[in-house]
Amino acid sequence: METLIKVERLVKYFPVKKLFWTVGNVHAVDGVSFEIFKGETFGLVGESGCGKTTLGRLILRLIEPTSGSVYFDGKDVFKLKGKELMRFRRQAQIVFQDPFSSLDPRMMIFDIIYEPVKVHKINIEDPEAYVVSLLERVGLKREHLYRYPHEFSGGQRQRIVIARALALNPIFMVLDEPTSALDVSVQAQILNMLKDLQKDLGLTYLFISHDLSVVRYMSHRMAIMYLGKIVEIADSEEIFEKPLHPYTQMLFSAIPVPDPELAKRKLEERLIPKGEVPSPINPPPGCRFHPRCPYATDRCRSEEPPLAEVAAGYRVACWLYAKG
Amino acid sequence: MSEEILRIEGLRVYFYTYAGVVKAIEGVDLSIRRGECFGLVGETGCGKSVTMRAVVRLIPPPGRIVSGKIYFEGVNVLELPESEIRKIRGRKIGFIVQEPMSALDPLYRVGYQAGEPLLVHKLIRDKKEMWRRVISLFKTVSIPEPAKRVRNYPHELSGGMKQRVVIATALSCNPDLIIADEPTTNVDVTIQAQILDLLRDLRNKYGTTLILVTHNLGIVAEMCDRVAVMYAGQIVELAKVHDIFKEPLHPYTKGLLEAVPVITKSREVRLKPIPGTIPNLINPPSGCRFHPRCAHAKAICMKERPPLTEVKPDHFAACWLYTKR
Repeated sequence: METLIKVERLVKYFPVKKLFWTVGNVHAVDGVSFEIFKGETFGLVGESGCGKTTLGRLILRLIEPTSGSVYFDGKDVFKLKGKELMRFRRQAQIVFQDPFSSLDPRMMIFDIIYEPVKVHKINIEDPEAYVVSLLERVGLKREHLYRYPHEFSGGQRQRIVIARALALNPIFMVLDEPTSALDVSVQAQILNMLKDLQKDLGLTYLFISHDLSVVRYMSHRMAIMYLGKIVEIADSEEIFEKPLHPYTQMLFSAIPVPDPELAKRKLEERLIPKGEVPSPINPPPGCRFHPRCPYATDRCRSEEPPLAEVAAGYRVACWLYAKG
Repeated sequence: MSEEILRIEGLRVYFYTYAGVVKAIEGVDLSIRRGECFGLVGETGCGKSVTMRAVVRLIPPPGRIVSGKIYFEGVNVLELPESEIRKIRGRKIGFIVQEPMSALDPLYRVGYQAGEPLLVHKLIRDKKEMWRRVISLFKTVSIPEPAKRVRNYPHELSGGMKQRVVIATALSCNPDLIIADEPTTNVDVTIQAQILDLLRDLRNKYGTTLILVTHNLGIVAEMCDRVAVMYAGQIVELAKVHDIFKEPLHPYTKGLLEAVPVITKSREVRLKPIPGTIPNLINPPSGCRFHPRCAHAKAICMKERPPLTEVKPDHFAACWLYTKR
């Protein structure tokens, strides 16, 4: 499989300021490495504050990193300039979580979707026909062209956001919780549409979500983040079959399943992490999960486990599985 | 059949907005048994929260209860004077609201807020006793270091802790009925599991009746004994939890179950979305409100509203597929 994106030891700290002095750093993303293959959906899961959104924005260079690099099609994204940067901006797009704040209420749908084309000064003979073709792609119609965002429901707005992202024929899209603001009956429509678009246009997705069931439905491979670090990364079917990291196991057992019998069985063997996620300003030493982990040993408290390969394409950061 | 604690009959709640009259609740009948955990599910705007707010008569304006009867322990709360309903709120019915951020007053210590119902209902002699009671309440809802936490202000606590404070407030007067309106919507899954465990333990310990309002079918499967599914201000199906998941009757319930991604299902099994969107309740569809999105819609569905009928023992559905005229 061909690699499209390669992330290497990516770090992003946000300074915490008190008056004039920096009193600490939020370790939002702390030394993350992985790759995304062409044509796949890569799922990124974690609880709020684990750094998954920051990671998505770093990959698109919407924010600059503290250190580390991201290679897009072999080129370092943070060193791109001029024409090459503009090309990257066309090829990589993002869909945000909240379709109510990501559309300008004063612009008509046509202008919203056509704006990226204008910004990149691309010549299109018939702009209206082009926008209509994009609208049809996402299940909307010509009659929607000259309306304002407030006339649309949440699901329709998200379709408009997706149409705008498609306007420049991207090859890669970051989908940052694209359905968490939507109701379940509409969520399924959007998820299926995203899957179809990927098949038709050969897109590569980075799918960020806190909802594991959605990630399972969408992604080929996935990574689980905890406090700025990746703790487990593998083929998603394999992870869902048998998660290895204690944090992943707990995350899975915490999810209520819509099946009363299975729910009962799950309750009996359920492991729920004690306490809450510690502050990312002063993450615990050693393995960041150790204060909540039932298997924690002395080594976990002092030494950080590396993200090591335990089987082909399966990496876990936990001393339970480390060799030697 | 066990004793009934709450009965709702023919409830209708309308919101009089500038755009028109929103018929948020159109004829809801429900009966909740003492000691059970009852789930009320539906999507945004289906009226599940409004129904529960009607029980404690806290419908925000421009909403109004147009008609109906709500019997709580045999008394119609809609006919009570305000002074009497106040004696029920917080004392006999505890309400856990959706957003702990907006439920707590930022200017008061969380311990005071959790103990306020005790003061209001004069269940304690002085403030000293209140603080003592609140500390033990915080212990019940597993807040670490309760003696310290009672003196905190809401902004000093995390979302999960704030939700526990709200639960403690609802529990403070040992109510007979607790209504939990989306108690875990804004928290992470691990915290959600902790809070659900807590509610389950409390129920086992005190035998309190719990009404759980949620849009998450997983939570219903895990927590509830019986469940009602709401769509566009009406109850479309009502059954034991087991029956509704194993043999859903109403096309909307079936659609909902097939539209949700499930963690145990492979990605190859394609989701079946329900076509269309939730109707506008200013001009709701005629007849069965689900008919524009229903694959089985017949001529009668457009004309007449199907009654909620008992299709199987203890399993009700409001659909013309199961009801003869």
